[in-house]
Amino acid sequence: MKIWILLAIRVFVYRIFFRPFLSIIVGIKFPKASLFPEKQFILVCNHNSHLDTVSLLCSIPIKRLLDVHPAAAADYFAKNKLMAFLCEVFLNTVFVRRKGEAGSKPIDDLDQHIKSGKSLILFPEGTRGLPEELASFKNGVAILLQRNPSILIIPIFMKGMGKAMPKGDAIIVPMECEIHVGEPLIDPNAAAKPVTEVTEEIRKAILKLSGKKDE
Amino acid sequence: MNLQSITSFAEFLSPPVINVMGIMLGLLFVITLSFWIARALKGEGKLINELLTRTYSWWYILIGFCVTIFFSRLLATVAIAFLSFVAFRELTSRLDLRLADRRALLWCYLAIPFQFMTAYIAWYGMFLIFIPVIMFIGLNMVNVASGNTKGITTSMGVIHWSAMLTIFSLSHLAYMLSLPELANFEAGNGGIILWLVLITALNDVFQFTWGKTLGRTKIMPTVSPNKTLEGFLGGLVTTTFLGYLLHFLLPVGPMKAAILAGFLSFTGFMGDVTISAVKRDLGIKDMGSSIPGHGGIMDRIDSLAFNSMVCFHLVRYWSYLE
Repeated sequence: MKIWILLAIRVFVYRIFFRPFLSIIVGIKFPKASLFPEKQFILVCNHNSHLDTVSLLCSIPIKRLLDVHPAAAADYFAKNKLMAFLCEVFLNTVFVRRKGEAGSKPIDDLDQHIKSGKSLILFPEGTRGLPEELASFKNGVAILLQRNPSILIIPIFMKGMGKAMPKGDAIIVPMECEIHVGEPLIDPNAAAKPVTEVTEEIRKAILKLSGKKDE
Repeated sequence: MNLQSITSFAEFLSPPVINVMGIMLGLLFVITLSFWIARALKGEGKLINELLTRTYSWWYILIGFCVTIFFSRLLATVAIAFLSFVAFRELTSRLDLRLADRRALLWCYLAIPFQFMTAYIAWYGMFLIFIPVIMFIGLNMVNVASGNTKGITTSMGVIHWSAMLTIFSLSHLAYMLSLPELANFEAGNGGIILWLVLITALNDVFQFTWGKTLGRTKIMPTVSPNKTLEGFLGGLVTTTFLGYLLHFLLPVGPMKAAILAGFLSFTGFMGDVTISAVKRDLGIKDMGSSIPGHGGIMDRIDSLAFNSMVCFHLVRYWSYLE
């Protein structure tokens, strides 16, 4: 599909349709677009709701709508060709085959995407959890950071989404939500550290944004 | 354009309303100007910047109020319904409700258009009982049907209380515009709503000002440490006098207007400290951040929420029943 058609579709979907709906009816407060750096980045976020990905795509600067890709589980979002096509057109997803599937190398796939210049949205909790509770993180982001030391890791904490539209419920109930965008995480020594330590650093950065002390 | 041609397409812009509105805008202009001068003379400072942020917000509030309320009854009803929607959302977002309460909340949101419809078509019986009786029973039913009893007592109380405080109370503002027109009442129904909002806002301002200048005796130290007896009494006297001065906006005589203003000074204070107490309980300073310099919607309309009910029922009792 031509690039400008894709951009037009996404500007319409996110800026003209979803963003006013999410901010006026649901009550999501969007962060300033200037908080997102212009360089290649990975947005590392907590995950409580289907609203998460959509509201992040509404937050990023318009010109980034083509090169920021949420990573989605292939077994859930690419069940059939139509669904996969719609996800790619509207959500700009890259698909990840989760562990346990034949021939799955999720980290290598994501690494390839980063090497080709794409920015990613990752949810290291792996799946949607209970509202305002940060589950343990998978090590994927840390491994990606070790392999690509120059990439910016941007911690993001979203509050309220899991109450506006929790897992297992298709109805949206208005609830004020906040999106906290943190400073890019810089750790030049990441490659020398154990993976779990880097993961913990990233998790701490998100926990700090949530304002909660470590549990 | 003369006054007559403006009032012909604006339903509630009678000459008394326009005059008072002009004075309000003029006063705010003078205040803004004096802050600007103060800033130019003394330079930027934390206090002056905060005062200016607040004043700019007052401009938005005042202009939004004038534009939405006085031109068409339908527009006014929709605008007040939207205000109560945002207030309800803000309040329930702060209350840390359970996931099981989402259905009850959804029914409250669906109740907003119905409640304001009853106000718009002046269906008084339904307007009065819909939230206090029908929703009261219905919300308990929805809560029980969720099957999750852990914390259900709190939820039953808090959700209905929120609906009363935001949806039911503010719908009285909309109903004021639907009251039948009275003969020999020049200001019209727009006058009542203007009087109420003005008296409520000025009462807040004067209680604050008297408290700052004369305040010695704390009135409720555990709830709101800034509230003083002197501020409360000073506000009461000033507001009563202002209510008396502006009685021409109401369909009642000057004495009754003064009594009503005194009453509203008291209930406005009650609304204010009620929300203060809730904020203290929740451990937050402001209910939200939607109005720069003021906090959230609930921080601004706390006193209006109580006053709209009191004012509506007293004015209706005095002028529309007898």
